[in-house]
Formats: sequence, C-alpha cells, structure tokens
Amino acid sequence: MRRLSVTFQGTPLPTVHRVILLSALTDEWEPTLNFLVKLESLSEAEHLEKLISIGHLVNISACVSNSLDWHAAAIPTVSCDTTLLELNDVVRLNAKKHELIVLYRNSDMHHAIQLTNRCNSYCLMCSQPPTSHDDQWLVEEAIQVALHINDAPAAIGLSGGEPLLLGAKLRKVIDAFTLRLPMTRVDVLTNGRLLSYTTVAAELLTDLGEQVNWMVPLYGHADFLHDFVVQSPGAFEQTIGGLLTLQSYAQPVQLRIVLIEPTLRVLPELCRFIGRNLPFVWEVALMGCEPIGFALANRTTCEVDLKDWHRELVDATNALRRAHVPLVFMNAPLCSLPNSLWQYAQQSISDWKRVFAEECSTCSMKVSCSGLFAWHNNGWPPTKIKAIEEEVCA
Amino acid sequence: MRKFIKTLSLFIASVPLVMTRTAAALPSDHGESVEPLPMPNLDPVQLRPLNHGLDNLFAGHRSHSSHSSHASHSSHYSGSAGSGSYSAPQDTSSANSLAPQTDAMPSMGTSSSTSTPHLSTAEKLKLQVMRVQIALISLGIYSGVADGELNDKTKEALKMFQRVKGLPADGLMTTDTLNALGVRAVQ
Repeated sequence: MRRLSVTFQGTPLPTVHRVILLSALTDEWEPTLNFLVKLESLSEAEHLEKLISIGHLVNISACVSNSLDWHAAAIPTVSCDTTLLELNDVVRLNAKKHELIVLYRNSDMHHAIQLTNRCNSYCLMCSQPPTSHDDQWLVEEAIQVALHINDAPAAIGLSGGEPLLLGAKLRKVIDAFTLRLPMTRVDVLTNGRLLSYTTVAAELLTDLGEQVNWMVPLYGHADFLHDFVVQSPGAFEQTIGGLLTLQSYAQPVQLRIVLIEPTLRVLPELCRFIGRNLPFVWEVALMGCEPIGFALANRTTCEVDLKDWHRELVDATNALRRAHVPLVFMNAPLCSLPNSLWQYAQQSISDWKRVFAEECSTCSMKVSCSGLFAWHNNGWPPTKIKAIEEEVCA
Repeated sequence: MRKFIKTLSLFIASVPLVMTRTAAALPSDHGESVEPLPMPNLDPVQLRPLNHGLDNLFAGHRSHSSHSSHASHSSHYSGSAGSGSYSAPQDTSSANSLAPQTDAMPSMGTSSSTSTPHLSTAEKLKLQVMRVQIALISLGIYSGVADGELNDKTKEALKMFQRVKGLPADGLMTTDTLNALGVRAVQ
C-alpha cells in the first residue's frame, strides 16, 4: 500500500475519496461519493471555490502540490507531491497521521483490498500475521472503495486476514463490487474453513453468480500435514468441506500451495490427491514463499532453494497434467525452475513489491520473469539468482 | 503472539491439547441476514456522442427505439414533461466541441464500466439534475444550490444555455443539451 505524507488545511472527511480533475467533476459527481480534486492552477482553485460556495457541495476536498500557494477557508485542502497521485486513484485520508493512503490504483497490475486482519489459522509462512483487534471498519471502507472506483479493473482481490470471518458482511462487500463493477472478476483469498458450515455457506453463496473466484490454500493430502502448516487442528477437514461446498454451489476454485519445506516434501502426493479428489478446481497455483511476516520467524521450515526440489516440482506438475488440472507457478523466478516448467511460470508479484537482483540485468529472460519480492533482502531469494544467458524458447 | 509448533511430530503429539483451544470460531455476526440486493444490470457499451437518445432517462420526451432505422419518422409522441416539441437526433459533435467540458471526454471510455443500478429512478433524476446544476454553475449561468431540484432557476439557466447553443430553448434536459453541457446521462 502506498502512503504519502501530506499536510491538511481544514478538516477533510477522514474517509475514502476519488482523485479527479476539476474538469471531470460535472461528469462524475455523485452526492454519496467523496472527491479529491487535483488543482493545477490558481484559476482552477478559484473556480472550485466558486463552485463549492454557490452549489453548497460538501463532498469535495482539494488537493494541491506543495508549490501552489493557495488557501481557502471553505475548502478542506490536502497539500502533497501531486505527481505521486494518479487520476481515479481511490485514497483514504488520515488526518491524525498526516497521511494519504492509496487504496486502489487502476494502473497497477494487481489490485487487492484487505477486509480484515483477523484469521482463524496461524500459518507457518503467513506473510500478513493476523491480529485480534476489532477491525470491522475495514468492511465499510472496502464497500466505499467499490463505489469510488471509476475505471473497472479486470480483476480485484479481496484478502485478509480471513475474509470469511466477516460472515454475511463478506457477501455485502462482494455484492458491492459485483454490482458496481459488473465486468470485474472478484478473487476472494480465503482458507475456506468456515464454508464447511452450511449456514455460513448458504448466506454467502446463494445466487452468487459467476463473477467470484475463490482462492483456497491446501498444504497436504492428510489432515495432520495441512493442519501442521496452518497450525490449526481440524483445519484440513473444514477446508475440504469448504471446497466441496464451493463445488456444490458451482463456484470456481483456485487451489494455492505455498512451496515451503513441509509442502514440498509431499507435493507429488498432494497433487495426485487433488487430481483424484478435487478435479473440479480450475487451477492449482504453486507459489514461492514470500519472505516476510511469520516466514521470517519460521525460517528453518520456510527457507528453501527451489533448485533442490526440481524432482518434486516435475513430479507434481506431471500428476496435475495427467488429471487435466491446469497449473501455474507464482512468485518463482525462471532461474529457480527447470526449463520444462517455464511455460507455467506467471509474472505474479504486484508491481509495487517487485524488484530484480543485480544478476538479473544480464538475464535474457528478465522480461518474462516474475522477479523477486522487494523484501527478499531481509529474508532470502527463492533460489540463488542466476542470469539466464542464452535465448531459450520455453 | 501464539507460539508455533515447529516440527510435524511435535504437532501431531500435541493435537489433543490444542484441539480444545482452537475449535473454529464462527463469524460473530453470522446470524445476521443478508439484505437482498438487485442483480447487476449490465450497461450497454457507450459510444460517442456522449449520450444517445436512449441513454437519457429524463429527456423530457419519450425515447423511441426506431429513430435510427427510419429517419423519415417525423411525428412523435410528446412526453408528459414536454411543452417542448421533439427534434430528431442530430449530430452533436459541433455542439460538443464548443462545450467547456470536453476535456472530460477521454475518461469516458473507461468509466463506462461502472454502473449505478442501486439508485431508484427518482434518485437518478436527482443526480442528473445535480450534475447539470454543477455544470451550469461552472459556466456561471446558474447561481443556486446544486440540490437536484429542477426548479425555475435551473430551467431558466438551461434555457439560456440552450439559446446560446442554438438548441430548442425548452428548459429540459434533452439529450442534445446534456451532450452540449458535457454531462453524461445517469443510467
């Protein structure tokens, strides 16, 4: 999430705003939305001042660059480096901390909205360690983001924490997105455990349509294997129950397997299990571990060099291919995978957290590589990064 | 912070102990019922000009689906709001080029994918009037509150704008008037 430090004059509403130009105001204005109008000159500022005072418009704040010397008592104003803001950004203003947070930016390749910090699992490699405090305000914020988005993205992720802990409110959030952005796919990242309860499932899934895509992690083909990775006894049965519930509601499911030592060890068997018992999933994602959060605390289990596991990776992909289950590799740079698996590698790391190592500058495959998490320096890279010299057709 | 159980064998050994503690919690509010919401209503793709006759729900005349198929059509039903006589859809590009809001146009293509199906017809009308009022305030020909009421003052301002643009001065939010103002019809 991008944070900008800003200074406030007046009191802008401490809520979600859409960044727009003055000229777009007539076209986009709605009484229930809040706008942050990016002013580029003093004449625009005067124009806005007039508009607000005559029209009694209360949902407009102004945004000026630090260099523009302009004050108007009537208009709450944010000064910041406006070059860091893009049009149609959806932002939250936080007057207490003097910051502006960009919650959604259309030019990003990946979009994610965090719905809660709470979780009912406690995964060994969790990149976003759960907290237990009450953060229900995030739900309202997510709905506001849905309303403020102006240019529909192809897909948007709803993540956490565990979104299912929201219960029926999760459906409200999903509906807010599907109603407002009917052409956008909604990806829900969840452990699926609570979907094993029929009441919860019925509340969430009845008449849901096909716009939602459920992304559920599975770390073992036996209860103790999965339960160990998520450090929660009983989780495997619930997740499997949740997956079958999703199937009975004809919802698309992507299974996600994070590649850490305990999962890599059973990966071929796990993939055979998926092929036999869960062949309805539309995709299995094999994901490199993000070296942040709990992964740093559990380094001995989470730090792997994918090169040491090529045999398991190939076995696992063969098992999935035989069962006609599509697969992708995420967060895995090409130099960490055997050539035969490059065709499945995806550029999956969000642009704002993706970097390349020094060695990558000479790599011939850099343009099609996932790159590395920006914080790999504090943890570890998924393998010893090595430039790929020759042009190879994957 | 809860402690991790770092080895698989230790985890298996301790399951009976941990089991009682982490019996999965249901969401706190799962008894709450979901409010039924209307199903998404897919917008047609919007093309230039800014608004076609059918986009404008509040044109003040009844839209007729067969305009484009027989241009010779000349007599039309005049809607309830209409003292104004109907004028056939015309190429509004010239009017548009004079409109002060044309720099808002590039955003059109992308924003067409959002919709406001959650509004009732009355709310949509109010929103459209408010946008028109904002546009008129911008032009300096309306000095009232942007309150969504199509009051006399707003109608007067609309008439003045229509006279300037050479449109029938009927004080209604006709499609041509919206296009000239650069206001997209609320759908």
